[in-house]
Amino acid sequence: MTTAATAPEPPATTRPAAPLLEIRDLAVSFRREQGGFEPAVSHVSLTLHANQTLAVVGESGSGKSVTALSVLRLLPESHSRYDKGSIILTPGDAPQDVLTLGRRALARVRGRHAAMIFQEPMTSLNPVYSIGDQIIEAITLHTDLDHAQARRRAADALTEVGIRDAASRLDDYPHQFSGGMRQRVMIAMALACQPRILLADEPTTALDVTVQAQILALLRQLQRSRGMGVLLITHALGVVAEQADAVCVMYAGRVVEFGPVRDLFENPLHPYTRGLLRSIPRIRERRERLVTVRDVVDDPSQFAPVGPADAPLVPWWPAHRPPAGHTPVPGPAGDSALVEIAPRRWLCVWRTTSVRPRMLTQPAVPPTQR
Amino acid sequence: MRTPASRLALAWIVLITLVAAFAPLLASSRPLSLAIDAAGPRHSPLLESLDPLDWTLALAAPLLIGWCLLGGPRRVAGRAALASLLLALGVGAASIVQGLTPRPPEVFGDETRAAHLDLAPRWTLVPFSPAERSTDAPDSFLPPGTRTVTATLSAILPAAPELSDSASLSPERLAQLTQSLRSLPLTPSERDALERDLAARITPGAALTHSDLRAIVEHHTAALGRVHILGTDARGHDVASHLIHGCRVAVSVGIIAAAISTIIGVSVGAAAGFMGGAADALLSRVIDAFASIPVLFVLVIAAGVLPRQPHVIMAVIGCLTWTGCARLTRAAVIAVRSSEYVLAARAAGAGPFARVTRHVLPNALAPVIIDVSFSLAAAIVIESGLSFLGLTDPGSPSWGSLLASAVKDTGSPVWWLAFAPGLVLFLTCLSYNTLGEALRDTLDPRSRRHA
Repeated sequence: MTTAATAPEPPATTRPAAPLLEIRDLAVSFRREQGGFEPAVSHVSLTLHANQTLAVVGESGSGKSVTALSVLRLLPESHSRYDKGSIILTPGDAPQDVLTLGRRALARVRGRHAAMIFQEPMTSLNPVYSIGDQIIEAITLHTDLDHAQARRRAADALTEVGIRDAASRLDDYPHQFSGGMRQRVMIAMALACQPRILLADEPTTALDVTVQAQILALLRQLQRSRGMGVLLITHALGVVAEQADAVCVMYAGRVVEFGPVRDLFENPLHPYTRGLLRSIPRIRERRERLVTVRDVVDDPSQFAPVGPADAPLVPWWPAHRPPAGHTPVPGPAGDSALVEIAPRRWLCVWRTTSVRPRMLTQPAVPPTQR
Repeated sequence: MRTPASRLALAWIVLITLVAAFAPLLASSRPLSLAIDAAGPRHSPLLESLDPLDWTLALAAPLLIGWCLLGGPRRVAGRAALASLLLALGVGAASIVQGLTPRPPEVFGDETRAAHLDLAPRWTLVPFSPAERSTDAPDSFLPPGTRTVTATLSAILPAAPELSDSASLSPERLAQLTQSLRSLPLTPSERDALERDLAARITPGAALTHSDLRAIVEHHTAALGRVHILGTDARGHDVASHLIHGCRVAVSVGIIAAAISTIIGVSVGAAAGFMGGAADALLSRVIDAFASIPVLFVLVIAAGVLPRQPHVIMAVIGCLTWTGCARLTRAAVIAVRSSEYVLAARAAGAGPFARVTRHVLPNALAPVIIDVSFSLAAAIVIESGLSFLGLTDPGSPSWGSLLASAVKDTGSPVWWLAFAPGLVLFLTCLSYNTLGEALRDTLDPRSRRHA
C-alpha cells in the first residue's frame, strides 16, 4: 500500500506502456456571476492506454463532461480556468501537455490526436451543410488532401461506420438521417483523421435502446480495429460492465474510485461506488419505489480508517461528519488525494486522526435500506 | 414566396432593378443606332456614350437577377444577398472609375435629332435624357402627352387673337412666318419638301389661312416630335426620363446603403455575440451610441459639409443605420454559438474565424436577411426625403426631387409631378416590405403559419 506524495503519481491500471492520455491532479473552476471562481473539478487523475476503453461514470454535475472537455481544452475560455494539474497526450513519441499548448498546436491536436463525439446527434451536426461537407471539412483541417481525395476518404469513413451507399449519402443533409445514423456520421467525422484517442461524451444517451447497442458495438469494433483509447462517459453501469476495461467513478468534482472494471464491480471500496452499484434495480426484486444512490450510500463516517497508524486514511466524502475519535484532516494533496489503496485500485481518501486501523472493504455498519 | 402579394412584390422589385440597370437604354435622347452609310455596320451613339457604371449595371444586374431567381425559393434569399453585395462592389468600383473620368453631358436635342433623321435612327422608349431641358418651353410645365415640335410650332405660329384661323395671311406676315419656320428642327430633305409645299400653296390670288399653314407644317414635322408622356417639370425636364433614371439612384442607394449597414452590422454583431464578455459589453455600448444618433439630422449636416454626391449619401446612410442589424446578429449568434455543432467544429480543430463564418453565421443570418429587405425600403425613403428637402445633388435625377418640384416651384401642386414618382416610391417601399414579410414567413420558423 502506498500513499501518494504531494504530487500524486498517476494511477496506472493495467498496461506498462506509456499511456495515450494521462490526467494528473487536474483542477478546473468556473467564473461566478458575482465574481470569483467556483471549483468544478479538483484532484482528477486518470490514465487511458491504447486498446483500452475507460468508462467515466457519475451523476450529473459530477465533473465527467468537464474532465472530457478539458482534454481538448474545449471549455469556454472566458468562463473557465485551469487551476492546476496537467493533461499529457502521447499520441506519438513526444508527450505534450494540453494545458500549456499554444493556439495553433492545440488546433492540431483537436481532431487529429484526440477527437470527441457528443450526446445529442440531433444537434451536433450543422443543419446548413451536407454531411459530406462536414466530414470533408474535418479531414481538410488536418491533412493536405485535395477535395476529391478528401471526398473519397469521407465516403470510406461513412462505409466504415456502417452507412450503406456512402458515396451518394455524402450529399444528404443531417435532417435526412435518423438519430442513430447521425451518431454514426458523428463517429465517422471524429475518426476521419485517425485519432488515437476518442472522447465519447454520453454517445448513446439520446438514442433508443436497440440503437444504443448498435452504436456501442460499433464503437467497440472500431476501438479494437484501430487500437484506440476510448474515454467513454456514461450514466449506464450496464454499458460500463459490457464495454469498459477500466472504470473511473466521479462524484462532486473528484475521482472517488478508479480501477479495472471487474475488480471495481466485485469489490467497490468507496461508499459512493457501493451506493451506485446498489441502486441498480434488479428484476427479481419487488419494490414500491426505486432506490436512489443517497438512499443506499454507506455512511462514510462509519468506514474504519486504513493505512499506517500515524497517518490512517478514510474515504473522502463531502460534508464528512466524523465518528467519535475521528477528525478528518486534509490529506496528502491538500484536502483529499487519490491513493493506490490496493494493487491497481485507486481511492479518494482523507487522512484522519483515528488510530484504529481496520479493513476498509468492510463497512462498520451494514447499509440501511428502505 | 408563396402568396400572390409577395410574387407581385418580387416582380416589381425585379422590374425596378432592371429599369435602373437599363435606364440609359430606356430613356435617352441619343439614338440607339444610326446607319452612317447604308451598306456599313450601324453605329450607336447611345452605346458609345455609356460610362463604366452604365456598363457594369447593364451587364451585371440581369445576370445576377437571373442567377438569384434560378436558385429556387430555398436559395433566393442567400443568393440575393450575395448578388447585392457583388453588385454593390461593382457599382462602387465603377463609380470610382467614373469619378476619375468625368464627361460632359451631351444633349441630343431636337435639332441634332433632325440632322440625323436621314441616317435611319432608332430611338429609345423615352427619347429624353434626364439632364435635357425642353427647348420649347424651358421654364414652364408641360402636361402629359405634349409633343415637342407642336410646342415649337406654337411658339413660331402663335395663335394671336387678331389672327383668326380662317383669316387669310397677309404676304408680309406670311414671309415673316416662313422665315421663322427655318428654325424648325428638320432634315435638309424635309425642309426642301416643306418649302416646296409652301411655295406650291403660296400663289398670287390664292388665300392661305393660318390653319392651312399650320396643317402643312404639322404634316411635315409629324415624324419629328417627341412626346412627354408624363409631362415636364418646372425647368423643362421630362418626368418619365427623370423617373427612369431616378430608379437608379433609388435602387443603388437602397442596395449600397443596405449592403454597408449589413456588413458593418453583421461584423459588429457577430464579433460581440461570439466573443462575449468584455468585448461584447464594449461593442454593445458602441451599438447603443450609434443607435442614439438622430439619422436625419446627421444627414442634413452631412449634406451641408460633404459633397452632395449619391455615393456619399449612400455611405452616410449605411454607416448610420447598421445598429438594428448588429443587435439582431448579436442575439442570433449568441443563440447559435453554444450549439453542439459549433462545439463539435471546435473539437475537430476549427479556429474561431472558421467557426463564426462557417458554422455560426449561416445558422444565425435568417433574421438578418429579413431585416435587409426592410432596411432597403428605409434607405430609399431616407434618400427620397433628403432629395425632397433639396439636400442632394440637384443634377442627379431622383424621385424625391420630382416630388419636391410638384409643390416647390409653383404655388399650386402639379398633379403629374406628384402622381408618378409618388406611386413608384410607394410601390417600391411596399414591395420591399411585403418581400420582407414573405421572407420572414419562409425563413423564421416561429412566425410560420403552417409549422
